[in-house]
Amino acid sequence: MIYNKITELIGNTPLLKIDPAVHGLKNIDLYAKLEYMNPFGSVKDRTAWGMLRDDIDSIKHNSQTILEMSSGNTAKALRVIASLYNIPFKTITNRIKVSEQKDILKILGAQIEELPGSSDCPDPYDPNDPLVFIEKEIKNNANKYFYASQFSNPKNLDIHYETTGTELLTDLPKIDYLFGGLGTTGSTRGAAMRIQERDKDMQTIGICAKKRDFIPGIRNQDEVLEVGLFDPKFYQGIVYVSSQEAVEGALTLSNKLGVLGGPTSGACYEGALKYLSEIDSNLKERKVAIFIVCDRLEWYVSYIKERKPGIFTEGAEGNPIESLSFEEIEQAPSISLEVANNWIEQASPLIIDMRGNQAFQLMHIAGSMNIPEPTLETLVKNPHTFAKSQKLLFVCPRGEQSKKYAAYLARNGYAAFNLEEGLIGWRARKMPLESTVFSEV
Amino acid sequence: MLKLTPKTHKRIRDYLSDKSRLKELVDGLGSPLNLLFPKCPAENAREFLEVFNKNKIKGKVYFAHKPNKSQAIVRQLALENIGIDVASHGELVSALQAGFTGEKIQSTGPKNKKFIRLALQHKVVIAVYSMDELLIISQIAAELKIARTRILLRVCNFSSAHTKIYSKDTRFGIDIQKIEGVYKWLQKHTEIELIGLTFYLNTANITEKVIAIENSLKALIIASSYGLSPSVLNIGGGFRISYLESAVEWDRYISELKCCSVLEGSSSLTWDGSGLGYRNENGTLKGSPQFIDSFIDQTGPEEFSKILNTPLPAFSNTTFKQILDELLFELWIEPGRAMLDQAGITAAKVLSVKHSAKGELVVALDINRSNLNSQDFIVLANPTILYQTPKEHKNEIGVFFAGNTCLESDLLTRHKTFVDQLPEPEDIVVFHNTAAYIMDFAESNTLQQNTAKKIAITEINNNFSWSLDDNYEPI
Repeated sequence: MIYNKITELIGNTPLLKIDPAVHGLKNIDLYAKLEYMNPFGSVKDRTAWGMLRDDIDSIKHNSQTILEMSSGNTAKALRVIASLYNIPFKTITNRIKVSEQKDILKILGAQIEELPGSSDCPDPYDPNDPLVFIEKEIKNNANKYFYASQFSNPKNLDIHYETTGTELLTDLPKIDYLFGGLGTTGSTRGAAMRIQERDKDMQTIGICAKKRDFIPGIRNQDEVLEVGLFDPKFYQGIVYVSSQEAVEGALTLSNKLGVLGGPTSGACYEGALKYLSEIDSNLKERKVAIFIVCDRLEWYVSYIKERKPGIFTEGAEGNPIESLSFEEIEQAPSISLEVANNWIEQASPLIIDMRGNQAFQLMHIAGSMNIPEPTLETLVKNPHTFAKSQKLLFVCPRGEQSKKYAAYLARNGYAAFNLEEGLIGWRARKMPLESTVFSEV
Repeated sequence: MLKLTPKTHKRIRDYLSDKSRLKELVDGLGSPLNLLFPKCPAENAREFLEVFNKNKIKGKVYFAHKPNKSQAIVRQLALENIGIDVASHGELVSALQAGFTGEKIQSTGPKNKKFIRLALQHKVVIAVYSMDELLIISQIAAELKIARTRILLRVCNFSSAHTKIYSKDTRFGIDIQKIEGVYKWLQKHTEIELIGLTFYLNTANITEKVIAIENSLKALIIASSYGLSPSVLNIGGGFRISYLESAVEWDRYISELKCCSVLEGSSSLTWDGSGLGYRNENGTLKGSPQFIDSFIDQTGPEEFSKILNTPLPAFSNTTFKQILDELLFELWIEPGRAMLDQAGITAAKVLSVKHSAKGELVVALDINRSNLNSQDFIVLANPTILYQTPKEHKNEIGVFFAGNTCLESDLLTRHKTFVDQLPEPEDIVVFHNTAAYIMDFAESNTLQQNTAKKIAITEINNNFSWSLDDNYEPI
């Protein structure tokens, strides 16, 4: 199929029937709306295009910068569309909590500015309100910005009414439940409004994060109240999901269903099952439910790592020095500070300083070389890094970490030694140190 | 049930369990009355020192004097293995008087000549806030013929290649981008010894702390190319404390405030519907809280430990503690509020209970908001009420606490407090955890009302004794 513009690929996403053997509901057909198949990877592609398409030519004509408050998918989609038109894009964010999101925005060339944290010394003249910064930025730079404002822009609703809702309506003859994460609340509500024109009794259920918890792209119980588009009366129910459940849900989606959705999608799946499982057991007729798979799994590696570290450590090769027993470490050949200077002169060891490079630059023992510990760890895994005839002296701040490396290499037949008490002891005795720091000016 | 149970140390619960004890003191010494428990800050100091030990970090804890004027607390802390941070001539005198020797004192803040002179004479480390101040200090040191003065440079205006942050303006510190100009001056003035850099950030936000730390470490490294060898990084204080026992209660209250009180208007939790910073704008919640986050799920020492274990992107993601160790630097911290966690309570007598014009229940107390600094520093937590005639049947009721001046603004709480029983005149109301910034930070004898007397409470084998703050004997 041939397209002329990438924006033509936005929308018309597939609807996948979820295998009942996985979801376990007896009387409900569960469908997933695969919004992650949008060209930039999320449901926000629609939102971004919806907010820009009418104005994009005038933004270009007036040399404006597109401004948004987003720490994820909306920023990503806005940025890609802006770059097609050679328009700069800037996002002001209240902390990007998922590092990959920030990296991707940087790769795509977005300007990112973060808001300061809230003050702990309350000051009546300084109201700690993030919106104040955005208003100031817009006011101080008259006509410079086109502020998309996804949280209050009605076009965010309209595009989902027009496209997402219509697609679902066309795909299924009757819809009873729609589940969506509440972020800006635009996608779920917009789509639901369209469906309810036909299926009046359809229930719309919002998925929120639990208080004191964080699921990317969706808000918690209190935060959602601050969303301009949010209307609590619109929803027949709100389900609260924890970040742990969101991750489990995402893993079920990817590992059992082949749907590579992120934690927000996992939260929608888990939230839908939570809500439906009780209803399901009392049903006399078949019902149809839909949940939204809003974005992709790949940019949440660190998020999942933090919450389920076990997946990543299994079978990983550890640092060999950790296999040493306490006794083996204690037996590491050591050079005391009393004899160190003489010994270095006579034995001409290779002095290996295992600290970071900036620390090494600031001060080090004359004639030493810098192999920071992460590199050293890789080197000692290879048995042929050092000549066995070469004496090695390992140096670290306290002589504790270096002792392990000396012990490990000595056990493997190398002439490795530890500098006892390390550089802290060395300096405390006022023994000579060199520096290679030069002013950067 | 919208109670906000205050976090209360067992020692204070035990003390309050005998209600006639406190009633007698308030009757005798007057309302309001501040009670200090000097053992608490000493215990808190040890917890901070323990974080240094556990993380194998070389450094010092300085108690920031400014949150409280109590002499008993400073006297007790002078026996611990810590220093003190003073921000005025008066605080320096107080520290010396309490037994801190000059080398354990660090001076900060805007300084007049009197303060600088006394600091120099006692060989106090001076945190210098500007080049202008450095010249004045150097001049006074020369006049006093002081051969060696140890200073820290207070720095500000941090920036980072990895994160761009909107920063608020600050009046304090030397622009770190221009620090080399100061280094050049110090190169020529060897009687002034630069021992390190110091900063303070008015937020617990970790991203901003990381940037300030990275900037300062780099500036410390660069100093060596000017022949200077500073090795101290002082990251200040700002460690938060929790005023409440339960996250569930706090979350419930705040949701109720935002949702029912401000958005739906179905209940009123704030005085005259103020919203405490929140407002309803076409059905959407707008604004930001005028109160502080009263429930924090980590202690000051835990927060400190977390900072130590944070990776620094500008140093190849090495953790802060490791880079300190590798650079052979020393870390100083200046907790104030976190050192005074659970160190004091404020008691006041009930004057009257009445209805406001719009029907709210108001409990007037013999104390005013200057004695509780409730204007700038709003904590949402229930006080403990010592009822003279407790009732069998609890009947929860929402009240506002008001002060003893004839000003409409003199409200002690602008959020509704839910109590088990309506207080009566002569009952004693105890506000918890008031030692830091609350009990005497902004106290005045406005309208010639009492300022609170301070007493120190000593506990030995479950027996409590008291003395006036100034007569306290540390143990």
